[in-house]
Order: sequence, then C-alpha cells, then structure tokens
Amino acid sequence: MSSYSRYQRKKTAESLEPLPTDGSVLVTALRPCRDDPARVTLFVDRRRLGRITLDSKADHHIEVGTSWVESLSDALCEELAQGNAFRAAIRILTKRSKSKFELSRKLKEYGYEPNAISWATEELTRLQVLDDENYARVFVRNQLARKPAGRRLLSGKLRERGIESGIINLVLDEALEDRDTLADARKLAQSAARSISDRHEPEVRIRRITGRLARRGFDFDTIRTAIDELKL
Amino acid sequence: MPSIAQLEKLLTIEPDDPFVHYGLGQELSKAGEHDRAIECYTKVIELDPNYCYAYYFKGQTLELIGKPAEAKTIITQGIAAAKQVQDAKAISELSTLLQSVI
Repeated sequence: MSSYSRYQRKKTAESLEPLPTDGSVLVTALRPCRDDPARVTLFVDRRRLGRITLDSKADHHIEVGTSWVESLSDALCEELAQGNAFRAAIRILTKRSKSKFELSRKLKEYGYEPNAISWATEELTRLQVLDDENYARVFVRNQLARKPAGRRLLSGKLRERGIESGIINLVLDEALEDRDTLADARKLAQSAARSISDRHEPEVRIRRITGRLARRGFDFDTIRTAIDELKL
Repeated sequence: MPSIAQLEKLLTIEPDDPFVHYGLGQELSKAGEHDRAIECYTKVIELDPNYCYAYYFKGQTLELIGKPAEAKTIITQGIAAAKQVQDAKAISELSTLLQSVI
C-alpha cells in the first residue's frame, strides 16, 4: 500500500513551469491558512504558489484578480520559496528522520533554491526538529541493535550523512563506552565461521572471516583476537 | 522512521497537514496504539477527504480492534473517494480489504 508518494510528487518544486509575469495571469484565490491565521495561501492562475503573510498581502495590495506581474513575483519570490521549502521539509521528515545534510540534499533534488533550503533547515533547527546530535545517537543505537559494528564503520556511515566530526566522536564515545567491542566481534566471527563451509582450508576461512569483520568496521587487533579464539 | 515524539513535534508546527497526521497514524499503529491511530486517520480524512489510504488504514485498524461494521462503512467511503479521484490502485486495494472484512 503506497501512500506518501502522491503528496511527495505534488511537492516537487522543479516539476512546475514558471508562470508568465506579463500580466496575462491573475491571482485566483487567497485562502486563509487554518493553522496559521497570520498567513494566506496564494493561488495564481489556479496554481498554489505557497503561503504569504497578511502583511505581505497588504504591502503589495494583493487581492483576487490582481495581475501577476514581474515586480510582484520578484517581491514574493523569496517568501514563497522559503515557505514551500519549509513545508516540503516537514513532509520529508514525516516519512524518515534525516540529518541536516540529508534533508538539504533531498530538497535540492526536489528543485528548491539553495537560499530557501538554507532558511528552511535553519528554521527547523531553531524549532529543534532537525537535530544532528540526536539523529546520530538514534542512528548508532539502531545500527548496533541490528548487527554488531565497529567504530570505523559507524563513523563512516555518520560522515556519509554529513554529521560533523565533533558530534560523531561524542556520540560514538557514548555508544561504545559500555559496549564490549571484542564480544561483538567474537559474536560476528562465530556467525561468520558457521556460514563458511568446513571444506575450505583454514587460511581461506580466516581470510573470509577477517574480511567480514573488517567490513563491519572492527579494528585489526580486535579481529585477530576474535579469530584466534575460534581456533580454526 | 521518525519516532512518535518527533512526529508529534512536527504536528505542533504543521497541525493541519494531513501528511503528518497520516505519518503519525502509521507509527501509532505499529506501536499498537490503535485508538490514537484511528483519531489520526480520521483527522486526515477531515482535512483531505480524497486521501484514500487514510480510509484504508482506518478501516483496517477498526477491523483489528473488533469493529467490522464501522470498518466496512469507512472502507466503502474510501472506495467512493478513490472513485472520485480516479485512483484505480486504491479502488482495487480498498475493494480487496472490504471483501476480507468479516
């Protein structure tokens, strides 16, 4: 059952052709926002352009029937872009938690302008919806709950998600402080040993188990100790 | 997926966004909080009567908590909404769900 896609597509900024600003199209509706009495949603040529404040509406004398001309478009461009990027960000975050970097990248993919993206992510950070430290903490907890992993792997995954090194170190120190890394490596080594046939030479088995543990980010001293204990 | 707490926070910022209510409904369902999930799906339908999958999951959840008659009513309304927006996939899936409700 798919369900999010219709809304996600609707919010893709790049899918819309720009409206003509030669006065040939008009403001067709100004609908009050139920959740924000200080704003109205602006429709031009029956297309939803986004929300503007009542102050903007008054300042620019916007009413139903006002011509959509270049000066008006330029004046509202930034406000509309910021609002639209913000709402798109909310919807992206409803579907999946993201770091600030991931959210920015997704908004860029959808065609939102860099300034609007920057404004939206800063606003969401201010509102404490975007929080890279919390995101990293939850990410590491989930990764470790799923499968044992070493510091190197977790650190790499967090870097890929644009988390700053200071946060990475803090979060990994916390997460791995009370964790027995050797026990994790041992568990993974035992599982790997079971899955590799006895018919292979010990050297082959050791090489494969080493590769598997290395890919999970364990350091070589830990890997060697864990493999030595297997007595292959 | 975002946590229930995170989604609730998003709702404080966008209280009338059906998409966020829907997301919260999904997470509440997973957590077994069926009554609250139904409230979320109801809100989605109130905000956007064409959001067909809100009918689907509301119906499914109603059946799960032992209210098949209410489930059938809401699924039937969902089929009507899906026909309205000509969403063939939703019509098919809601119809299958309706047949499975005992």
